[in-house]
Amino acid sequence: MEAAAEPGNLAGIRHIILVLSGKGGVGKSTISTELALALRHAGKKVGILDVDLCGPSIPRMFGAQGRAVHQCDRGWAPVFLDREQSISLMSVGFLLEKPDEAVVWRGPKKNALIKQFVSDVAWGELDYLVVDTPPGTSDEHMATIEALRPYQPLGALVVTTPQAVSVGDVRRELTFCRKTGVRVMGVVENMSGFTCPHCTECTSVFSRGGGEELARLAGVPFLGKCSKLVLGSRPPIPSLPWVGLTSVPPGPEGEEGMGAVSLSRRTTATCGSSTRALLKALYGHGWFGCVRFWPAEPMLGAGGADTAPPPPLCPAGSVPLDPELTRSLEEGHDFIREFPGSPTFAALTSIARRILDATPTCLP
Amino acid sequence: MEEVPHDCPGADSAQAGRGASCQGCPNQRLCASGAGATPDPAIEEIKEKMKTVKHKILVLSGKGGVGKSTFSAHLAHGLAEDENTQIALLDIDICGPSIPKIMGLEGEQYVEDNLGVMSVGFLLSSPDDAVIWRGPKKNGMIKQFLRDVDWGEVDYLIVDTPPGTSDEHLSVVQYLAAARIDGAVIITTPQEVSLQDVRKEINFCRKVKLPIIGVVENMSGFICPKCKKESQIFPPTTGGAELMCQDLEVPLLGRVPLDPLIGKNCDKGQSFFIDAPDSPATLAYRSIIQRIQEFCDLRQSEEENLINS
Repeated sequence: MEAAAEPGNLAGIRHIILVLSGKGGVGKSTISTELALALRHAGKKVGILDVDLCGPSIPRMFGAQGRAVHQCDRGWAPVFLDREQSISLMSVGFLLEKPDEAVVWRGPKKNALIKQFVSDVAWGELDYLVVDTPPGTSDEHMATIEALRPYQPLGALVVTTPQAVSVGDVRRELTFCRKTGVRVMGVVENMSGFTCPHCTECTSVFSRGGGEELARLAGVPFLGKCSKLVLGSRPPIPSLPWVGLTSVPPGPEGEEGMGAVSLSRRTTATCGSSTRALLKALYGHGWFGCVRFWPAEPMLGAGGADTAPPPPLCPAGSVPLDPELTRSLEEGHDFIREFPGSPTFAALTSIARRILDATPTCLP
Repeated sequence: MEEVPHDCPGADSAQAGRGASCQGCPNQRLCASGAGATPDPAIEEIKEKMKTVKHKILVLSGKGGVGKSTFSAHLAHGLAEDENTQIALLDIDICGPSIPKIMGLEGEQYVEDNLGVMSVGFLLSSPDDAVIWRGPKKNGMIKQFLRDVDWGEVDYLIVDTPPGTSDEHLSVVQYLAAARIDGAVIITTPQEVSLQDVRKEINFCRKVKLPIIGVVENMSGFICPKCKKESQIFPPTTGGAELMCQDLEVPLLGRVPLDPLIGKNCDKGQSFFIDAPDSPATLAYRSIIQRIQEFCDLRQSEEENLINS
């Protein structure tokens, strides 16, 4: 039996964030990777611990396949991406002799390795450790949470896609979090929609509505939705709540938020009281960036095409399907550095900003 | 440095508890005592039960979210269109049982007269119930599904699996070992992030001597409903499933494009074939299903020839 866990290896880590989902393939590794890159962009030192033993995606996403893991006097040395050691990684992917080798282990053996991963990696000083998990609510998850519990993780980001099938699994993950005492920091809806590069039509490829429903079920903020206040057009059906619309030109971080607030004060004069209340509630929740919305209920009898919500002018938050993002992850590039003008960048950095805001500033 | 752990030699192998990779395994003492050496009696019982099941197909993928459950459901729907064929769909994804939702079932187990479904999802009282089980308990449930469900006369048993290469996969292969599985259909998407996990799954199949019927590349291209032009949402940066299949000498059964109606129908629990009979995705599915049927028929006649010769 191991001696009382050495305070050493995790003691230098300020905050631990888990990225969870009951469902596979929703983008946990993608969100973990991009969150780490965005946090680094914000000047933080970040580590990623990949506890997906059967499908370790993290090494490839950073272009670090084939890197070797070495021992040091405090345990395993993580793989550093750069000289400044701003991002460090640990994954079973680094330990496999052949990348196509399957890790066909039953639960008890997986538990043993995860315990080692958590306690024996010499992370050093980190601002954030992002823990990427496999899908499900089983051995790996229980082992990870048990091993991390003494270090009081900040919480979990729960990732879903818009479909009901995803929500069906991810709501079980919320129950898992409740039962294991993990705080859910928020819900991210990935693969929110695809904007055709040929005609800019935005299609909901994987259905819609999942992120909001999940956030509602969990009673947590929906981190993945930013919308845009757009002034100008008259509401098609006056009796339904509708916000006057205008476009807010995208600007550097703080200015975007302020622009939307002052506009909202002007627009509330022309909108119904229910909309005013809605706006107040929104800003009370600290929504930042642009705000866009459309009637909550579909407008019956008004015809499908006419009542489709206007395409997002500056979609931020809900992470859209983006082949450039996929390509960057395949090739191990830093999407955050390479595509700062894209809506996907805005969505990912807004999630990172939310994490930074939610991080307590006074340390124990 | 600790050696990288190799695969568990197996609880019933001669090396059980004694191999280098057994170091540190909590079951080491148990295995070394020889407790795992006797075969599980359930295997014979399952073989008996499976005598009335003609063809057994596993739907696998190393990767999550590629469309295993969607594919399993539509394979079942497609095969069940022939009223004279009895189809059973077994969902062994214990933590994330999607099949009930995709088939539109809240508790009834028959979608059509000739299409029955079993899933742990039916045993959960609330949609929020989480199944937080460790490996051994999951294995027990799978054993129960295979041994204790009265399958009756079934032409095709389709088994939908969770992502990965772990307890559930080992168990279903072990428990069905004596009953002969026709083969596995492996689902992937075009990106390398999926393919790298799928290669592991193919190696898993080879290791446990599970025949591979072929690979299906899902989400292969998206046709914009407005302008009808094609885009690659998940670019095949390393050649997609086609190149992987060539390299590993595995048949590519087909490519299914992304059709937003698939997701919508799964959410509603309906068959996509009914909603979009002319979609390129429907046509792709039908061609793949036909190839699977041909594979199963061929195996059956090969076996019969073997018995008769």
